[in-house]
Amino acid sequence: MKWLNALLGKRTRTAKDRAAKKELEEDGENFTDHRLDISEREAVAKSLSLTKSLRENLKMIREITGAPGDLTIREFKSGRGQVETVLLHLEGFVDNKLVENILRMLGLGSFQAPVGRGAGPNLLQEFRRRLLQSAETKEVATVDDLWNALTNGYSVILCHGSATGLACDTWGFKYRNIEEPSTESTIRGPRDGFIESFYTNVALLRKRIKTPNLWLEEFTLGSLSRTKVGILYIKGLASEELVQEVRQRVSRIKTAAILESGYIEDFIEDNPFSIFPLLFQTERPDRVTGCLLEGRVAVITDNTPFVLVAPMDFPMLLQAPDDYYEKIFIGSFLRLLRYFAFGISVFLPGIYVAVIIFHNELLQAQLLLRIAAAKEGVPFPVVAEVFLMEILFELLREAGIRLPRAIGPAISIVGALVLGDAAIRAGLVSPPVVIIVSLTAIASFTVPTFSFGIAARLLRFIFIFLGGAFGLFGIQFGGLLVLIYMSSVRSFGYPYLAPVAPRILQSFKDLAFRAWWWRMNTRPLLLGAREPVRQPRGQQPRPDIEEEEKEKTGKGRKNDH
Amino acid sequence: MLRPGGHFLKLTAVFCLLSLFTTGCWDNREPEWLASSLLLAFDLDEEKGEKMYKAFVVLANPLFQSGGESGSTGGGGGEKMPSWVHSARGRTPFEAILNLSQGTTRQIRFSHTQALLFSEKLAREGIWPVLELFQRHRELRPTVQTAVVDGDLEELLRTEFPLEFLPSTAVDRLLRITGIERSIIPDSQLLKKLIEFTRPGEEMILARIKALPQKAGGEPQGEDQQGQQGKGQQGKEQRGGNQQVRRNQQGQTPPGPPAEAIGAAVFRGDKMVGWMDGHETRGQNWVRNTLQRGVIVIELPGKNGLAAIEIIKIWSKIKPRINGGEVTITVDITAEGRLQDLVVSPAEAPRPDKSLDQDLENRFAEAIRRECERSLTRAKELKADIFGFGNAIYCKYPRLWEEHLAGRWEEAFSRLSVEFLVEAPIKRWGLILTSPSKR
Repeated sequence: MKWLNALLGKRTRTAKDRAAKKELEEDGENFTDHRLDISEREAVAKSLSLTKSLRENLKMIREITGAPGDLTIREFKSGRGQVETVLLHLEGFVDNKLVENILRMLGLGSFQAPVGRGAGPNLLQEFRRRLLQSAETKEVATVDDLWNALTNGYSVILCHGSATGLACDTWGFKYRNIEEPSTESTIRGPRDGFIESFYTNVALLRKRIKTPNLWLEEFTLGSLSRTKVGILYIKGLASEELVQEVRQRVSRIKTAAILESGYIEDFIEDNPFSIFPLLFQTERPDRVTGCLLEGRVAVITDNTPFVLVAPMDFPMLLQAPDDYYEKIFIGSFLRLLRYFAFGISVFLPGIYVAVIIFHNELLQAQLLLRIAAAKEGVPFPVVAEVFLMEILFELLREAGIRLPRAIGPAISIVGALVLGDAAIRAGLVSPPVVIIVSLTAIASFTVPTFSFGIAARLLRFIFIFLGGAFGLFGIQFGGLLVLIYMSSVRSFGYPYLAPVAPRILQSFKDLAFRAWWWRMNTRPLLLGAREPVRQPRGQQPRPDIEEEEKEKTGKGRKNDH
Repeated sequence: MLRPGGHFLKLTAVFCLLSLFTTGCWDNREPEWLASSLLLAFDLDEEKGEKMYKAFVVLANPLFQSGGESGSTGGGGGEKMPSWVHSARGRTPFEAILNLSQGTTRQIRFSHTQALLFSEKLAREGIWPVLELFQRHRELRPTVQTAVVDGDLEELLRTEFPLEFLPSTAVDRLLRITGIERSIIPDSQLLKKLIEFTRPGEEMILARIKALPQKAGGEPQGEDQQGQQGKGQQGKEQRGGNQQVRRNQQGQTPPGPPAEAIGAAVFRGDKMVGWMDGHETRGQNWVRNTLQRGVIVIELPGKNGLAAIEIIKIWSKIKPRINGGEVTITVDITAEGRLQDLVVSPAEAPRPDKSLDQDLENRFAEAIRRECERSLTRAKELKADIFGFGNAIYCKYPRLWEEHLAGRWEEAFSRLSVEFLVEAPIKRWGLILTSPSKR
């Protein structure tokens, strides 16, 4: 109940300042009391205001935070009145040069500040006036505020005699450089990718969309982690209902910590049981920019390079940024190839199993004989064979991701070459199965969105079972089920198979084929309905006829002369 | 049912998992339990005075296929035969092919059968039951190549073909390639034969295939030779390589062609009535527009040499006409030729000019017409309308057909007057205009 006393103390402080101070001193071990649980401690920290006594404030802070080593407290006297002042900051969060600057300015003692009682607040005002030139400042009144400021890279100045502190921005956290995301690399296209810094990520987007109408709304989620989450959209282009929906779903999250955007995805997606991702995630600023320009909403999370985009539709998963940058023919071809590869990666092992054990009359005679010959002497049924190889491949893939870089190649050699070859030589697996599995694996890597590759992998196993149990009939049945499911599922109220079901013919210009940019005159109908026209029509490049004619007549005149 | 998260997903998962353990799925056959039939052949046999169908099947041997470098799984595959000929008897064709499973260790699948052969004996007795089986049976396909075997059926099945592993592939390819390259056999797809069979006023004609006896010198005895040397027209290219006896490493003489596909078996209804030679068969192909490629050798004007003209395009149409109460048939044939070679002394080599063109074209057309006439004569002899003249009449004058011809077409056909109008331009002279000669 001691924390309750502390709360009471807070309430009475204004009236009976001294009494409260005394009480607090008596209950000095309030915050070192190990019986307080986390939520109680949080509540206490929120409720504690700073007092006018610097000593008390420091004591309070030390007791609440457990006086960690990375909390740097620099004590000095400043101003003519030699007022006791401290500067607090957290190691690693601040740029030491900026802090030094501030210290130098404060320590010079050249302030024309009043002396004596009441010097504290005035001194702070003076500081503030001076420091505004170099850094953003804000006032903090409670311990909680103070700590938030510290964890956001601010340095906090406390003066004796002032019940508020002055926080100045000295942000200097060291991030990795902006580099090309390794999961989504392109041949042609920008090479920058998001990093773990919230504002850097926002800046990467704002650098591409410089209109003031790119709006950012910030939320702090997670009672303990206090993660910054922002929703970003183009005001006036994104539908207000959509923005409201995203805003509402994000702000509804009540949890202790948000470590990655995956947490948010789980909280806000429409259907938690969908194996298809319902929010698009990417590390590439250009992809997010493209989405924003279509009227979608981005959700940026601090501490992760993965940005979520809502709503999402199925075709987005198979579109790579290259498609839009390369010439349309190769872009469209690659996109078609990707659809094909996706089909392979989901269906091929299942179809192989089904055809071999149920419908071998579908194969050409020579092919069947070859496969039958290769299968001769293999002790497993085809289903088990394919299943084993698929599992082996998944193991290799997972091991490849987890392994330290240096061992990776070794494992892939042992796994792929030695194991695969030995399995064939020992007659445990037939070579066609190895071909099928490798083909499937290669095809599954062509899907530009990794999270979707996972969905394809899970589906693949289901189709192997269906093919093994019911033949092509089972695969057809399963395929139909998946299709029905996909056409019924929605992402933020928008249909998942958007331009196909419901069919929106004008959006087909950017589905399996891509139209020229001068032909993309309208925005996607469902998302960009607020202003459907993207650009004026008739921008196809063509020889300028008027110009040519002028030239001709000019020549004619020349000849006349 | 589709409510996600309900029992549906769980049930599906359980269902899928269980399916892994159900090894006895309906129709689930692992490939190692199956043997693929590649070729089916039917003969007629007798047992205790009862007519028995004898079915031959050529089964592919998977152990042989894997005996190569593809792996050690086959185990001793090198000594295995690529295929196995197996036979069984039954009172009906289906019983016969079902009886084939006696003595085989695997279930026979017929879906990959590539060729269907009939013995002459069965063909003369009637092949309708087999044709019917091929349409009725789930696995048998009417796209197989089919032919009637002249001579011993089993000998043909046991023949080794130099370029092919499997006799079935060999028969299949022999029939196809002969049809494409020389057109001296009729179109031999079973489906087309069934169409011929079911049409009124048309008779079936099947390719003839024959195993050639192998002599030490590799000089096969075939009808091809006898039938064509007199005319000096074709068939030379077939044996060109075998004229000289060459010896291979083992000191054995290389075999000559093990089989030939030439000519046709003519049917009336489902019963074979006689053979046709290669020329007569090609005459039938001219009339029915099924000719694909071939060569005609004509004499040069002045009788001083020969010219080979390759047939490259052909179009023909049967036109029935009523002339004074009598039905006559006109067959329009347009064939395009390409001059391919000249057998003449260099000094006398002809130079292209209009009159020569005209002359050659006339001779070319005449040769075609003669071939058609010959074919017609033979067909009239056999009283089998293999050209489908009757069918053309039936299509154009159905009432006339129903009232006067339907029942007595065989007899009417033998008196039918047919006129062949041949137009045969020789449009191309190859890559050169004038032959190389001393200036």
